[in-house]
Amino acid sequence: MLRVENLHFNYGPRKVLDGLSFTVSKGKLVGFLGPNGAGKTTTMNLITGACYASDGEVFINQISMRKNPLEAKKHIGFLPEHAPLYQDMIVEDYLTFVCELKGVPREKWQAYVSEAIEKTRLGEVQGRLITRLSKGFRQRVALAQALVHKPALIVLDEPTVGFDPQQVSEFKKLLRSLRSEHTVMWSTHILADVEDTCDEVILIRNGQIITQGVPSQLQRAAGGVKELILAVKHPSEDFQKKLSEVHGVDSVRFLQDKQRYQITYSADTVSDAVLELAAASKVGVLHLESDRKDLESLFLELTK
Amino acid sequence: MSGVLALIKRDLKFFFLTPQFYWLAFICTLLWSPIYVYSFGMFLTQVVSLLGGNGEYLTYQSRVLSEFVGLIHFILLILVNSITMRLLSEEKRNHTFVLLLTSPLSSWQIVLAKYVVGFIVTAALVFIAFLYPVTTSLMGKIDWAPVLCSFAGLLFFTALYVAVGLMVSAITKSVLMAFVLALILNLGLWFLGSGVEVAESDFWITFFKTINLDPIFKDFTQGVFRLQGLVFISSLTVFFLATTERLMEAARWE
Repeated sequence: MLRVENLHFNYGPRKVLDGLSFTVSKGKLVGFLGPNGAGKTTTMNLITGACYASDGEVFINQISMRKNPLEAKKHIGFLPEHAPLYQDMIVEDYLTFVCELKGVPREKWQAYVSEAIEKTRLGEVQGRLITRLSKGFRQRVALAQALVHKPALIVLDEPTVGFDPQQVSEFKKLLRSLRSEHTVMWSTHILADVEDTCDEVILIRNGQIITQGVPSQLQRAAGGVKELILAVKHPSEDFQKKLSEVHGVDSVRFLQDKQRYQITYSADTVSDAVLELAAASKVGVLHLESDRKDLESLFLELTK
Repeated sequence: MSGVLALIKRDLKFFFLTPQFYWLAFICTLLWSPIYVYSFGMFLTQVVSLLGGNGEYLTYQSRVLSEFVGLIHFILLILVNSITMRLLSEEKRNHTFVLLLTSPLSSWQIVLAKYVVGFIVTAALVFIAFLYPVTTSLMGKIDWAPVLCSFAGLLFFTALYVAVGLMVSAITKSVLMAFVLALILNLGLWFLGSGVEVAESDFWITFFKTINLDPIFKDFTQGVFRLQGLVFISSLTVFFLATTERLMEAARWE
């Protein structure tokens, strides 16, 4: 669906992107992460054809952005960091304008606009001037323009900025629903959103890919395995052996100094099983603590 | 091509469905009307005083229209920049420029669409000016050939000023800066030919004479249609449009 090959972008003497390469399969929702200045926005500008790369290639549906940019751009919807809205236009007219601009046949305009309005829940404001809308609604209009022409790839640069928690939740729901028709690439700083919404995460730093994969894989790759700390009144070797035999437990280590077991695991049901075992073994549970490394820790660790 | 039409329609709606154009039209008519009425009144007085005498050079074209068209030209030379300043600068300022860059339109198509909008809005102002001789013709017979030639000249010159303004609009996101720079460039272009008065060497005299726009415009206002002048103005217009396209392409590398 999207193939980025050896992308370079120089800003004067500064290398903003330095040989960036990755692929995104059809129907995936991909989180694009990186610290400020990592090159996320530049990458998105190059993918969408807003800027030209110093070197390298971008392919959308096998169409080269360098060789055939006008055709490639028909397959892209882009919501940049600053919403590209004509404040003097009515929501419905604006979306129709975008349809026309993107080359959608005239007979489909109305149906496409209605669908985009329905998806982004803009029905109540479709006849209003964009300038009169709240920030949340404006952002939704901007999202609607990115998907109104039914592009194969939707690129969103920090789209949840300015949303309240409920809007963020609705937005994530909408993004998940888009997966059936579109491939979505989403850059954000809210790592929890990526963790529970995205199929894949691409992490970049200094214009280079650090890692790419599904969030759980990345956690393991970075040593981010899940960990439990269990403190008991009556520790024993027998109990330690039983713990290591629980399904999903990878290893059990006894920490002598504090009378605690350190349990690393991969299955999500392990904590329940450990508690049941501790109750049955009558070891007297004092404390159970989860020490799970999340994507945020991983992000901080990898972008150091 | 539908994208180009979409862009033209959107911008024309912006100019004609908001007070933008009407303010400009108001300012123009406010300046033009008293001067036209005064010139026409003077012309009538002279005609009456010369009745029975030799009045062969006393024509509507020579005494009213050529001066009036000269005045329209000067006012449009200033006001046209307030139209062109919005064409690309405002898109940049409102962050809608990226929508154009990521749409399936080439830089040439975007420049063309913006230029057509600028030209149509300016032509609408010229059309308002054209209503003055039309109204006069309702009161008596006028020779239309020189009138049409004068207004054709006016259109060619404003087409050039729109191209200059559009080029400036492509290099800045400040609307005010776009206005000021375009005004300086357009005035500079117009007065560059005056260098002939201070030039000393033959080379510079020939150079300034060649680029002097004033005689070309005067030819038009006197009803003389010269292909040479038309080609020169058109070439300059194409040059500024091509520069705009190059500037837009250059911006994509930054």
